[in-house]
Amino acid sequence: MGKRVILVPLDPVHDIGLKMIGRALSERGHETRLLQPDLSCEEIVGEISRYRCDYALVGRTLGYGVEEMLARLADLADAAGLRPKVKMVVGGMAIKPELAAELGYDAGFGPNTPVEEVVAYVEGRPYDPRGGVPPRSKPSLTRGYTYRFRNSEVEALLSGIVEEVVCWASGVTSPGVERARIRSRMFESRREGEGEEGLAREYERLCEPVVAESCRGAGVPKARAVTPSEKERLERRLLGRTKGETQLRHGRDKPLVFVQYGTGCPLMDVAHVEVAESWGADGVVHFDPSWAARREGLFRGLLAHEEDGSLITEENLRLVKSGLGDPTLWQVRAHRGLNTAETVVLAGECGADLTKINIAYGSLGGGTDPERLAADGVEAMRQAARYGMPFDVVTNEELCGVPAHKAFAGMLITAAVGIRLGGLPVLQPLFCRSPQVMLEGFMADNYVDFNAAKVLALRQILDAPIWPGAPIGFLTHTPDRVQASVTTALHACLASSLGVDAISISSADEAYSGGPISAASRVDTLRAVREGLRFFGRAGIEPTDRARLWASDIVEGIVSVLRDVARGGSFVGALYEGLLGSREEGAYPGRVGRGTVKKVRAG
Amino acid sequence: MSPWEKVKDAVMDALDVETFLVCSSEDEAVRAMRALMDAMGLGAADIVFLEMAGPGARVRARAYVHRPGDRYGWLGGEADGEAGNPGSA
Amino acid sequence: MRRVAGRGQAAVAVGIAGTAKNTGKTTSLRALMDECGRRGWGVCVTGIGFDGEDLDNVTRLPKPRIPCRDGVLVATALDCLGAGDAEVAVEHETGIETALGRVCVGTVRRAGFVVIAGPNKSSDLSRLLRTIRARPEPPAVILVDGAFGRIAPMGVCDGLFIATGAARNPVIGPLATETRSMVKVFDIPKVGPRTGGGDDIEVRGVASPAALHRLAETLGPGLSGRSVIVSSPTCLLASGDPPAIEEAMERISSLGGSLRVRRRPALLGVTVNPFFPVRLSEGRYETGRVDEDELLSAFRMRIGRPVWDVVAEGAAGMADAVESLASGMGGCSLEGEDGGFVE
Repeated sequence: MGKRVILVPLDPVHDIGLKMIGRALSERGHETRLLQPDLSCEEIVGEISRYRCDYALVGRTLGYGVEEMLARLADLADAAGLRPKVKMVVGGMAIKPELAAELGYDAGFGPNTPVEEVVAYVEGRPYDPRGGVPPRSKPSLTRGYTYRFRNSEVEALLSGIVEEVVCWASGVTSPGVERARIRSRMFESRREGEGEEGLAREYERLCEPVVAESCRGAGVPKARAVTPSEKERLERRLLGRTKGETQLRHGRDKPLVFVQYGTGCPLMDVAHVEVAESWGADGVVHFDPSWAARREGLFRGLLAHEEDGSLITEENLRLVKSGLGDPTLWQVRAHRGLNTAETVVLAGECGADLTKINIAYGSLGGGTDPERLAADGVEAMRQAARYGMPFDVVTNEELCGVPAHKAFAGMLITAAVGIRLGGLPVLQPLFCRSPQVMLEGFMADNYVDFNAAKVLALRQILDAPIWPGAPIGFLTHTPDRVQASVTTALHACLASSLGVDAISISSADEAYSGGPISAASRVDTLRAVREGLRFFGRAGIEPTDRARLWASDIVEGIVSVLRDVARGGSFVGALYEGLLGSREEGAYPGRVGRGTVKKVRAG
Repeated sequence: MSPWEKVKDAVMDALDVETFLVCSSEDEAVRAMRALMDAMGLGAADIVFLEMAGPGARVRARAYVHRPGDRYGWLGGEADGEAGNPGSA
Repeated sequence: MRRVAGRGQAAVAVGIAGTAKNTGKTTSLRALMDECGRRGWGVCVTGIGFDGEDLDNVTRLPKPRIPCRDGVLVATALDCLGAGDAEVAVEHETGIETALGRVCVGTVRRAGFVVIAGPNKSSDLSRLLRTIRARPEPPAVILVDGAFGRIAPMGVCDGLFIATGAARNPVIGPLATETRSMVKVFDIPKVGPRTGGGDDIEVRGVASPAALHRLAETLGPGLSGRSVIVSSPTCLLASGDPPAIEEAMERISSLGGSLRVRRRPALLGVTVNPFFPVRLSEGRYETGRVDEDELLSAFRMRIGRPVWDVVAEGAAGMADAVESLASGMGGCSLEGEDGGFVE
């Protein structure tokens, strides 16, 4: 049934909201009448009475004494006996339901209320903020990609390299590989209700003493145990709150926006994750401390410490997971240390959606011995495939000074090995102002072309998801939160324009090194990205012709590097020799875990 | 309990104070901002951002109410005495 | 007066209507609730606005909150039940909708603060009063907290206190004059058995001073000997300025006519508050005050109704007034006559 609605503006300047509501109501077949803005309360009540309306929507104006006026209007309508028939609604600045109740109105709507919500109220039906769209479900990064190569030369070169890597890896093992397998068996035993003790002893023998002691409950240096009471209070205070449905994108399904957390404390992590989700993040990335990646074995317990990065323990991961909203994607990074393979197992068991693995970066920029990380990385990819968990292949060696095409060659080798093992790799080029970019002047004119070139180059090679990171705009941030938020938003808009699948964004504290990242600074960049994506919608950013030229250069560079690697006959050897990034370029083969890879005895 | 004591528990982590200071040098701005933070009872404050131009400095200072690993006031309830301080576990 | 209203006896509904924000409605309500508690009267508390929050919705100044003892009956919107720290066992939901959800009736099981947002219009308040009175053991008193300067819904109460003070006007003289005008409006006689005849003029809905003046203008001497019937004093007061209403009343009577009301709550007295918010700038207020003794003596000299400063004197006088109203209502059932609001 159509309703009769009278729209009551209290001043001529602030009636746009009412006009929009009026239009939406008319379109839905309701009868509306907009009053002129300069009527007295008595005249308004007279109009309401004459018009015999079902609803009177009053637009609040600004100014002193307006509340008294609104209250008087409601009172007059009451005294006139109109209230049983006419629902009175007030909307506008500073209006909350509490104020509406106090002023004598049936309902109140704040200034950012969607028109549709008011229409729903008038029609007497519950408001569905998603407009009938089912609740957000967990998105997939890899759906629809064929992982087919588009460049046959690259495909042929990679095929040879991959066979060599897989064959080599099948003949070796390491403490990390062994621990991953034991962990996996421990989880199976647990599921089958069998004891884990025997396996746990076996596991501890493969750990460093300090880690083994932690597994036996001894605690961890420089870290403290989170108490059961703290955990219980966190669950009571934060978990289970509604996070809203803030949508960062406007008119597009991509890119998904990831936020990295790793405050050092799982309680604070949960708090920051809740903030990020509430402000629209689609996914969160667990950032772990580099010192722990250099230890054999993973610590145990619910542990907090006052350093960057949160320790990867089963208890920490499970606590963070318990706070995650259903649609939120969760990535646990495994990529760069001695625990790469078992981190994947733990992530898979704890319900992570994604992990991160890259042999080339971890051994050239992450400090781990190339041979060791090659062995562990292959095992990690096998485990990731087993859990059906896609993993991104990051190219952070660019930040050390390795040129993009070399970093990409390393990424593609890792990705190709992953594909060969049945995995779902996601390519992660950096959107950054890298040393190469600065030296070569690639961003002398703009930040668009070179970043765009990277995406174009990768698309010419492989049909796979692309997730620029990590975070986008790396090395363009300053401690000015406005600048940091703007640069993040602009890079996000570029990513959106290029149609990539996901991005990782930093906080506005990215360039501040004096202390931990604050929750407020996370809101700043998420808010900025939302505004940027709203601004562009489905419109795009147009790179100059140089983007295409640089993309060709990058592809050529990749082919040339892959030829060299193939010619050398050993991926691990290529890492040591600097084919995928040399010492001169700032890439140093790591030493952690050197000499720990052993040949598997035949039979 | 002062109003500050009552409300600071709700600060998730950092408290930033930002303003524009009329001054003639960066040093002066830093000193003024530190003094301001001191006066507000935010003792160990850090200057996150400072840009000097023309009549003065755009500046943002920060004090942490809760650092990761601390006992967070926003968790509510009574502080428990179960575990030691950072480093003692 | 007893814990519960006697058989066939209606719970007496008493409103506390303010003339503006910060005139001391909630303070008066608290004092009266305390006094009712001391006297062992069963109380139900509700309100026509939103009250019980820490800070004022408009001025952001601290507000008194509403403490409730065990056993007090509250009628408040669903969304407010979790907002206070009193534990309230909800007994039933009324069908009355508010901006904060459906009004629920429940009993305080653990004393504490409550946030009150009840029915905010006459028809709904009338409906709630019927619901409360229909309980097997209705409370002796139903207290209705006001909101802003809103008075219209209070027309369905049996009795009324007016809370006024410096927040309405910090100049004592005009404030007292205005309050005296309000008292006069409440003193307008009810329609007698002989009125309501063919010659009388019925004004439906709002009777604003302008409308009354127009009437006087049109009829002139033709008003002589006739009654102008208005549904209630609150219908007159809702249109605003009490001195203007008084002036219109005088004009009608100077033409030989007289004003009558169909129903009226008894005006039991006036509470005064010397404090007022001073607006410093948009959204910023501080507290000012006028001389309390001067305020009280000016009022007591001119109002012709009991006047209290409940902060200084407590609410014994208010409770006495409620008791005598209840005894005046006697053992007779008021059912069907609870304000007589016609929907």
